[in-house]
Amino acid sequence: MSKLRWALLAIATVGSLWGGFATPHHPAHDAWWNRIPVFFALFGFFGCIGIIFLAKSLGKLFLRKGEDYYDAD
Amino acid sequence: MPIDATFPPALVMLAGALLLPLLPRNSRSFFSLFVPLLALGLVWMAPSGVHLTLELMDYPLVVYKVDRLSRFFGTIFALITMIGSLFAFHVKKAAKQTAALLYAAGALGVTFAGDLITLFVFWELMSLPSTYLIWARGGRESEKAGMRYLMFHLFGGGLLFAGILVHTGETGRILIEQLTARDSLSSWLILAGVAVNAAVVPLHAWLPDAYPKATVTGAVFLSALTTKTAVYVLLRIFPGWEVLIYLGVLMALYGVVFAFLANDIREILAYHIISQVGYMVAGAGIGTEMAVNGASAHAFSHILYKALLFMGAGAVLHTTGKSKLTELGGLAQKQPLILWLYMIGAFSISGFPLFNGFISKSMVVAAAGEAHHSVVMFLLLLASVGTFLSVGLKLPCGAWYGENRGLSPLPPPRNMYLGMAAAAFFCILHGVAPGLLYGMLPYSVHFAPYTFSHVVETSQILIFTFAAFWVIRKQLAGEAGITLDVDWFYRRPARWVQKIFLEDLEAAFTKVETLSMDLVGKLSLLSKNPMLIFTKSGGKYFSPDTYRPGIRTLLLLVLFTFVLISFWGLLGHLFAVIK
Repeated sequence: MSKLRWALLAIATVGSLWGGFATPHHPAHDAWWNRIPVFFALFGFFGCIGIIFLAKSLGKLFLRKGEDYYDAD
Repeated sequence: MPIDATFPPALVMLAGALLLPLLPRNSRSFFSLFVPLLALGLVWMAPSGVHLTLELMDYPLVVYKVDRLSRFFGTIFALITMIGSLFAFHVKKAAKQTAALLYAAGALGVTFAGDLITLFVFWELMSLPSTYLIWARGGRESEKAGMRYLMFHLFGGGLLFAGILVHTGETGRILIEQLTARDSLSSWLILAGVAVNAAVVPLHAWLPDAYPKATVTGAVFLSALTTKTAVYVLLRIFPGWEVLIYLGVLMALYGVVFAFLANDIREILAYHIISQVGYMVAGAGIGTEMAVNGASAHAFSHILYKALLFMGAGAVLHTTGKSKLTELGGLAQKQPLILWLYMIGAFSISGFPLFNGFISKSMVVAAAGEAHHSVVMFLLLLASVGTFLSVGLKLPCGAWYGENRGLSPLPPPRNMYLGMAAAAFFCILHGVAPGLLYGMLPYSVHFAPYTFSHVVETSQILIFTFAAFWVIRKQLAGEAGITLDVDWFYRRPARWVQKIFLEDLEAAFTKVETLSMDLVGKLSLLSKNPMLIFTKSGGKYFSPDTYRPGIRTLLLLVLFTFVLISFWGLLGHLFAVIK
């Protein structure tokens, strides 16, 4: 990626994290996840790794087969 | 019947489809643009209410009924048919163009049907033309996948029809209405029939099997029409069925996981249809006004961005002849425009702010939260992480960036760019001005997508999904091969079924035939040559030469005797005369 895009991404990252802290909260009727400012950042990061891990292990376990699996013999 | 504001758009499509092959070759493409435009105009002009009824035996059929929900879906079906026809403008084969219009006629007919019989007729009208769009690609793979697709849809249609018959038998009603009886067989049969077309897991395997093997332009229509008419019927007949919430969530995650494993770019997109339709099915299951609005809005957005994505992937296939991640790469410099148009679709499906996925998907997620389904809400959010991962990151990285495989793509027809640009325009338009979409929804909208916290939340999710992807991107290259899905259950045993019911059965018949022929042969020996009984020799087979000398002698003897007797008689006669 070009330097410009990295810079824009960095700005967006800082902005979104700052936004997490800046969002006004109402501890009384806010759900627990809304009280953690970086909750959705963690959700995105670990959710992504979790999906990759799950898909890859299922694939290794039994889902992935060769191109001619259905055509063999 | 004159064409006025209350003329059924489905009949316009149908008439257009039948007329198209009769037109000169060069005007067909224009005609295939004009027909959906006319249908779109009719959908917009039609006032709410019942406009066309027919009588079938004792049942009143409501062929054309308009309300806000059906107008909303009718609008997008007509619009996408027009955009799809624009993308397919270079296609000059009348059969392909006719199939697309017939297919759209089916979708519009279902949308505006007021009774179950009409719904069923148009439902079935969709299956054959859509199968043709798969077969038209040619080749053994498409032929077989198309046949599996057709079989599956005939099975679904059968379930639906059985359900309609039982329902009519039980209640005596055929008008479309919300079904609420959770303990009635008919409801479940109808639900199962609709679920086949909505690709509800585990009845979904036809979709990722067939769509990647369809024609480049046919896949655009396929991605838009079948599953979304089914979503419409779910919203119409089954809102509030809790089972749909869980099935929807299952679909959303299932599609994401399987898409990640896929190697064919159109298969990745096909699995993401299942995933995205999962949001709509879940919305139908939640069944509140906000959820129905959300599911409808998401169907509208989804049709646009999914068609755009299929057009992008189709353009790659059209220009390079390749569609597998393991065979693609390094196209970014050569196809910048296709890449950017595709990325608009990818940003939309991933729910980036300012794109239409953001304003519709979030409505379903928020409806789940509002209905106190927090787990459902998080699982749907998780599915959107997987969507961005596969469609927004893995696919473009594999197809346009990644290893340069020295492909030299041909320039695509200009109309392909136009079709993509039209879809991209609406993706951005609705993302920037959500009111345009919200204003058409069946219920009034009390939802603001662009709140500070929502934008922050979505940005965090997307940015950190990208971060995770970037960290482990080296291990995410496509892998050659296929992924097993529940189609294994009918594709793999097909071999055994063929062995048991065809090969083994045929072998058994052959064996019986040989045995009985043997027996007959042996029995026939008895009657074939009676001499054998007396002589016990003379060989197994009859040869006339063996008997010829004997018979010849016998016959000569008989003849000689006859001649002698005749001669004797003649002499006697002569003597008598002489005397």
